[in-house]
Order: sequence, then C-alpha cells, then structure tokens
Amino acid sequence: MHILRDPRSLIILFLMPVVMVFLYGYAISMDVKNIGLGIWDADQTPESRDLVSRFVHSGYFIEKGRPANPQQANDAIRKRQASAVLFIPNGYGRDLSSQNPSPVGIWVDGSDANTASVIISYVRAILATSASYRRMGILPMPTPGLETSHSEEDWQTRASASGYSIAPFSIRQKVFYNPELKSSHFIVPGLVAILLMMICAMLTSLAIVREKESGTFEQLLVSPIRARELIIGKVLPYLALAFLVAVFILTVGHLHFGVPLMGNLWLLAATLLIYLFCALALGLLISTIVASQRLAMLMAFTTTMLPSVILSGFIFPIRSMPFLIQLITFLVPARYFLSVLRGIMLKDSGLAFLWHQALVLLLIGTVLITVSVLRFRKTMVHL
Amino acid sequence: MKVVLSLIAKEFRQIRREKMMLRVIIGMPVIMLIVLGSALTTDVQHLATAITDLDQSPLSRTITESFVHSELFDVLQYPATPDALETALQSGTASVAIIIPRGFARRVSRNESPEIAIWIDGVDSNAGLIAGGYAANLLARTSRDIMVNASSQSPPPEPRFKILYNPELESRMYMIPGIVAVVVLMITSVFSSMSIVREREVGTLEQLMVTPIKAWELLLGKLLPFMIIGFLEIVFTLLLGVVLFSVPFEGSIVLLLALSIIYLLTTLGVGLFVSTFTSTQQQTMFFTWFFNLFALIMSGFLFPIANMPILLQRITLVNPLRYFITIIREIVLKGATWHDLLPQISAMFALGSALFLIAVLRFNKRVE
Repeated sequence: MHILRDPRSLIILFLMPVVMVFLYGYAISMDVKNIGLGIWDADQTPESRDLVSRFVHSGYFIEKGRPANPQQANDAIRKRQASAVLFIPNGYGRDLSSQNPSPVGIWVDGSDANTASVIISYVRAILATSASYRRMGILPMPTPGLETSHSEEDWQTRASASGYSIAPFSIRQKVFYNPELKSSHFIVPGLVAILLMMICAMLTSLAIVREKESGTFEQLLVSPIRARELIIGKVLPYLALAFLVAVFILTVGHLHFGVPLMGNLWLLAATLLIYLFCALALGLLISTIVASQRLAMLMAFTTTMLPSVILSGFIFPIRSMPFLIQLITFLVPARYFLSVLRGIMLKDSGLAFLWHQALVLLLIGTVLITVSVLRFRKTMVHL
Repeated sequence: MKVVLSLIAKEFRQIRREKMMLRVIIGMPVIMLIVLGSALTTDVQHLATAITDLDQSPLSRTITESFVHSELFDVLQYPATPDALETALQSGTASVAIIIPRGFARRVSRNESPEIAIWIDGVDSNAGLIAGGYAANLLARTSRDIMVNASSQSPPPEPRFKILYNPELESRMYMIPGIVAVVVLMITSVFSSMSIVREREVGTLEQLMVTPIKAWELLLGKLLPFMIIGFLEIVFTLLLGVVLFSVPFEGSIVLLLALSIIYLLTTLGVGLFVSTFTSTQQQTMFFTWFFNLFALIMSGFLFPIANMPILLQRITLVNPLRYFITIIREIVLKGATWHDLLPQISAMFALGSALFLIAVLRFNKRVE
C-alpha cells in the first residue's frame, strides 16, 4: 500500500475535504447582492427620489455613479463600474397620477446572464412597491427572500381604490427537511459523493498505471497471481481508505456543521459500498485505457470529477439543464448516490423510496466492471 | 539554442508517442465546452411542482393555471390530499408544493385574506430559497391582478429593459470564455508539473543534469513545449466557441493572445513550483489538483466574487485565474481595450512574474 508511505498525500487527502466544505459552504451563494447601480435621475422630483431610495435601501443595490446621458450610461456598464443603470425620465413625478405615466428604463449588463436575470427580477419587485402602485392602493405582498421595505405609511395608504382593505390573500411558507436553509446541509452529502469518486476512481487508476509505467505491472503479470486476485489486491486498500474518508467527512459535517443524520446508518453504509464499487470500476476502466499517470489524471478528472460536480445535481439543478444534458446525467453514478444520501441523511427516507436509485447504481457498477475486466484480460493476452 | 530546440523536440516526441495524449488535449475542451457551456446554469427553472387544490373554484383554478403557464414551474402532479403532497416532497418527485385551502375563493370575496401554503423541499438550500421566492412572486402578481381588476385605474406601465452585450441572456456566452481559461490552466499546470516529476521519478532528470546542458536550457526545454501546447489550446478552444457556439468576439484578438502568454507564464509557474517540492507523480497530482480546485472556486468562474464574504474576496486577489477570467470575458463579450483592463493586467503580470521567478529559483537550487 504505497499511499501510507507518503504522508504528504495522506495529509492532503484528509485536509482537502475540510477545506472544501469551508470554501463551498461560504463561496457558493447564488443570491446576488451589492449590485452596482448607476442612477440617472432626469426628473429630480420627490417622486423620483423616492424611487431611487427604494432601490438603494433594498439591500441589493449600491449606488455607483450618476451618469447623465446615454453615452455615460453605456460606458459605466462597459467599464464594469455598474451592472445596471436606472433611468427615470423627465416628467416621471408629474405623470404618475395621469392615465399615461412614463415608464422607467433600465440598462442591464447581460454578459453574465444569471446575474442579469436576477437583477431584472429585483427591479420588477422593487417597482411593484413604487408610488404608482401605492397610489392605486395596491400593496405588494411581502416576498420571502426580498427585502421590500414596508413603512407604516405603506400600510396606511392602502385605503383603496380597489375595494380591498388588505391583500386579497396571503402566503405561508414552510420549508421541509432543512428549515433554516443551511447550505452545509446539502453540500456535505455532495462532497462525500465527489471526494469518494475522486479517491476511488483517480487513485485506483493512478495506482495501476503507475505500475504499468515503471514496469512492475509486467512483473506482477508473469507471477502466478491471477487477474482477479491482482485487481482485488489493488482495489481493496483504496476501498478501505475511501470508506474512512467518507466517515471522516460525515463526522466533521455532523459535529461541526450540524448536518443531521436522520436515517438508517446501515442503509447508508450499504449504499456507500455500492457507490464505491461503481467508482472503483470506473477507475479500473480508465487504467485499462491510458498508459501514463498524467493522462490517467486528466482522464479521471474529465470523466469522474467534472460530471460528479456538475451533472449530479450537487450545485446545479438537473431540471434546469437542456434535455440532452439531462439524459447524460442518467449515466452519472453520483447523481443516484446523491439523492440516496440526501434522502437518508436529511429526509429519513427508507428503502421504499430509494431502492430504484440503488438498483441503478448497482447496474452501472456491474456494467463498468464487466467491461474493464474484459479489457484487462485482453491486455494480459497481448503481453 | 540548439540544445533547447532538441530538448523541445524530445518533449514533443514523448507526447506524440502517447496516442491518447492528443485525444485528451483535443477532447477535453470539446467535452467541457459542450457539457459546461450548456449545463452550468444556476438559473432555477422547471421546478417539479405539485398542487393540491382543495377549493376547486374559478379563482383557485386561475392560480393553478398561473403555475402551469410559468416556465419556472413544471406542475407534474395534483395530489388530492396534503398527506399525498408531503409524500411527493419526501420521495423527491416534487420540490415545491402549493396548497389552496377549502373555501378560498369565498373568503377572498369576503375580504378575509385566506392563506395559501407553499411547502418547499429545503434539501437543496439555494434552489429552495429561489423556488420559494418565485412561488411567492407569482402569487403576489395574482394578488395584484385581483386588486387591479377591482379598481378602475389602469396599471402603471412596464419598465423598459435594455440588455447590453448578451441580449438573449444566454449563460453559455459567459461560460465559454471562462472555460477557455480553465481548460488551459488544467492542461498546462498538470502537464508541466507531472512531466518534470516523472523524469525525476524515472531518473532521467539526473541523467540530463550531468550532461553539459545548462539549467536554464533544461528549464526552457521543459516549459516551452507546454507553452506552445497551451497557446494552441487557447486558440483552438476559442475558435470552437466562436464557430460552434456562436460566441461573439468583440475585442482585439491580438491583445487577447498577448495576454494569454502572460497567463501561460503564470500557469506554468504554478506547475514548476509544485514540481520543486514533490517527489512522486501522485503527490504532484494531489497538489496540482488541489490548486486547480481552489483556483476554480475562487475565480468567479461559477460563483460571483462579489457575493462572497469579504475574507474570501481578499483571498481571490492572489488567484491568477481570477484576473484572466475577467480579461477574457471582457475582451470577448464587451470588446474591452487594454486601457479598460489595466488593473487586471498589471495584477496578473505582477503575480505571474513573481510566481514564475520563485519557481525558477527553487528549480535551479534543486538542480544544483
């Protein structure tokens, strides 16, 4: 077992999960804040200033510059001083009560499409609290996730043209399984899946390829060891190591981040083993294809790491992906393992909800191992 | 110079001997472009939704319809009871559930403000947060429409949005320039560090050192091939992005290529640096991989830097990828000039040359 002789690698192996939990836990935040907003107020009336203050006090926008013509507005965005520019036309305040009020204009930097669409939805929500709606007696419903400042005055002015003295109906939101919406609760199970994939697939493939590279593999082959024994001997140490790392991450997640472990631990351990089997099979397959360690690493990276991070539903919701990519995700073992893991840990789901996921995992593993053993035999015959 | 050239030729011969190598160098950007370019949308869409309508009135049906017609929600099932609804959440077949209570429409008309319940599967905390917000927004709009209809005035005009640079708001336009930077970082840092350490592992590096080749010639011979590969990789991946994914190229290609060379100096510096304190390829792989992962998360490639806590934002300042990602995005999408990018360029240059210098010094020390 080479890896035990290499303390540096071992340290990294156990340090990495912790660093990753912290980095992911803090760096991943999809809600967009501190958006630089250029303000071009061509109206300069109490009404327009009220609108500006609604933007600045929303908690999402920070005033960045006061462009005064279209050229300056464009420049502010091109030079990344602002991500959006709000334009309030001359006459905005005067026309508010008329039948044809003038619309405000918003320039948005579209280069980051995700941020841009978030900005657009914020703008709409803030405008819904603006004077024009209040004048009609129309109240925005308090929206979870968006601070729309409701002053007392807002609630008083609702005396209404519409005949409703309160909003027609209200909303009660209840969050299941992760009531405080803590991101560590969904990142820790994801990290387990990813790191296990990495350790099993990457390390196994590297271990075998290393022996190929240095020529010791041929020595093993001519010795009376059988192929099956050889594979098991190569694979078992990494299986044990990976299992250990998984327990380590789960313990850190449970004790330090308070990630719940609601479900049956035996069920968890059993599915963990099935997943490890899948990952090891993938590693073996890679090792039968490539001949050098640097290639094995890049291959393992593109075929295991990337899909486990991106196509598993770890961070990016699968249902938002294009249909074709969604089909590809059915081939990613991490996808199934992740939903099993989250189900057991957070929802206390039993076998009744999870058996088909586990079955697919088993199937993928069996196919992979069959293909790699076949390829492996072929290499042995060639030698 | 002759020595360097023959060393370079040697390196390329080694690369060519590995048949898979070329496939990886070409295949990796293609796969990453296709998968990352289209899968990486943090946009939450097509949320699996279940609605239990206990009211069955015209108003409750209007609300259900508003979810059915929204692109953000896919209403997949209509469980008859709240219990069945909870089972749908538990099994993961729905991540948002809406319950319209009995007598809803009647109580709305009596101005009693009844409650609609939104249940969210909080397992994916980000998606949960966004899903809750979307559902509440949609219901708020319905509520507003009811009030607007009841009053005699016309609603205020819609704001006019003008979207610059990516009018269709396609996230791949933003992702693809970033992918170019990431692919090149991975390939050059992995190959340069691994190839040096491999020679050390096999013992051929010592053999080269006892020959009259000077240290700088050796270094140049080791790094130039990967510089060339990295450069071609940038051109190839960009070309692919422009031709296959119709990413517009607004800026100066000469400027971008010139800055790529500074960037490559940085990534090769990382590889060289790692190789000076590792002794086996496995170790090297760990360190390089660790660095890549760190650089990826902290670069703004996927997660906007402005959203991170201040401490993490400071850490991103030492990440070379952060600067190049901004540079390539701004040049490709907005046609930025060197003047616009001066802060990024100078930071990357300072960081890159410092890193490279330290790595070379450490390498020379080890060689001697």
